[in-house]
Amino acid sequence: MKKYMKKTPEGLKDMLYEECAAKAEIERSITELFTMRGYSRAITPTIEYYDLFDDDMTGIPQEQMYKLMSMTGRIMALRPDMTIPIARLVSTRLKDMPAPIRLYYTENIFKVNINGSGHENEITQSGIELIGAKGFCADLEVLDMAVKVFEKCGITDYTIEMGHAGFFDSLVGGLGVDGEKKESIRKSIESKNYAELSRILSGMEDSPAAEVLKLLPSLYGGAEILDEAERLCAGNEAAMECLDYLRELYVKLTDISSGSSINLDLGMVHRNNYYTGVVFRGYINGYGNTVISGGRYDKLMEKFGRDMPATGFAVENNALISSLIASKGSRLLPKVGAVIYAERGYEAKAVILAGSLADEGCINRLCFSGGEEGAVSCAKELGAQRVYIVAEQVKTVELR
Amino acid sequence: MRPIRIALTKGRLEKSAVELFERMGLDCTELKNKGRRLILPVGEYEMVLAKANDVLTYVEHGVCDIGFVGKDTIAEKGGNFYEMLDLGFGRCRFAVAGPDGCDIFTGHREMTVATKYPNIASQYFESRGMDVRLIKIEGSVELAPLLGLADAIVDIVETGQTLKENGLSVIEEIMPISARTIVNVASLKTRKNEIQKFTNGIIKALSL
Repeated sequence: MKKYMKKTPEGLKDMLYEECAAKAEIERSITELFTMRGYSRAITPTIEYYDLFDDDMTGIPQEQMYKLMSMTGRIMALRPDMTIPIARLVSTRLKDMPAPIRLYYTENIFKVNINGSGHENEITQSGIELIGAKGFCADLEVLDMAVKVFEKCGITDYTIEMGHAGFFDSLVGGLGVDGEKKESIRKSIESKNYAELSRILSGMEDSPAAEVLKLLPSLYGGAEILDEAERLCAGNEAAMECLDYLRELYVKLTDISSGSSINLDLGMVHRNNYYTGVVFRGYINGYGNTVISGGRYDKLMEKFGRDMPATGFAVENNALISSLIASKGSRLLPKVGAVIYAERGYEAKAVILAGSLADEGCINRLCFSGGEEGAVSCAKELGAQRVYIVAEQVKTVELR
Repeated sequence: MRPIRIALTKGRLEKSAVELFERMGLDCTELKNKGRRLILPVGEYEMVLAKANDVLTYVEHGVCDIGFVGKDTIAEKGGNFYEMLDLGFGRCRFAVAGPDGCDIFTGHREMTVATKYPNIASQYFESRGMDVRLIKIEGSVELAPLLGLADAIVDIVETGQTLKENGLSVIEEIMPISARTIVNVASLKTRKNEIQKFTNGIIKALSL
């Protein structure tokens, strides 16, 4: 036997039974939600040119992408993201379509993690992109959809948190630091590394912006952090504008999403060269990873030659799948209603019966050996309520 | 919901961490008499004892909410979590060291460097514009230059005594190291009050 015949590659896996049933149910719920709110599905190729996902464009390091070479010697990549291909699609095939354009997707994306990290390299993501729309109502629509993803999938114990990419920019802009230093400030805020952040900002004590930046990692929680941020940023017009905007979104979103937990984190500064406005994340309590990630990215479309504002989010379907399996388990599996056994010579009749039972909505299975006794024990194992023995006559055995 | 779970690096940091927990008013009796148990109740928390690299793994995956681990491990392994507090204990530093009087920064010859921390070493030499050959060594890295395998080493230096006794000395310091408190990204947001209570307890105990 060949060495790698019986294992799946690192970070990739097979799925069966409950997992497949849960995946189908989650995708059905999400598709319904997105469709009912006017989004159309987009399907893009799994493999694209590597140039599309270049680090400058996506912030995804090249060692995290699966790459291959085309027959013509071009570098190709398994898509590590869905927003970029959709931006490409909108700037080409949909270039004459009037804005706003609403698209959704459910696709697998790929990421190379370090061997042994336990992270998955093939991830199913669903998401929406609202392209060519700016302003409050568009932001509220997308945030509301993120909340609805949780609710539609039966998850009550979730948290959505919002931030604003412009808030960080308005503060760091006043420091007069170079790109590299800005990036190290951003990184230490993103990882809430207070020690490193104070070290970088030491010597800038006379700048009011530096003082706010130092506190940025701790500015997360409810509306009270907006009060605190407003007090700290008095006089910085651009920063105040972001805070006002966030407050209004926070209030409206809290109003319309009853019972859920909406929070703020002004220190949310991930992929800051990509996001331009409101950013947000969603978590499920007890699940250790980010489940939803999204925000406004007004500068991306311009790179494809079609300058348009845009916003959207992606959901990691696996988190929703685990949560559904945890609550429903084997109840997710279809229930077999009947088992059929054919005596020799009556196979075609049995297959016809199987087909008509299926048409009536009764899930059934043919049983191939063991006669009536075998069929009954097979039915008991599956929890089926009826056995058909097909011969000249069809005999029906009812089980309790 | 399960109690907040804290991963603690076994060994060098353990004693200082236990002292810190006691100053925070937590009952560490079970932790001090742990025997061979790996998960122990400390006050209202669950303490998990693990190797440094595993502390990062458990916290990143969210099976532990908080971790106590050295900056050396964080810098070498990386990962997605919040690095919230510098605890100030377990202080030492990363340094390049070599035989007394050696010069690794000039000349055209390719330098060979032995280290337990290839990522740290690689980033450091890259920042100095140097292209060196790295060899990963698992145990006493000081042996490599003594045996003639490497020109220099990148390693953790605490007192410098081991270097000195083997005729080696620090050529340049790379970065200071100390113990850190890390927090899972989702836990900080979904169990904010409990985690803040704990980290505020640390800050208070550290300033006493």
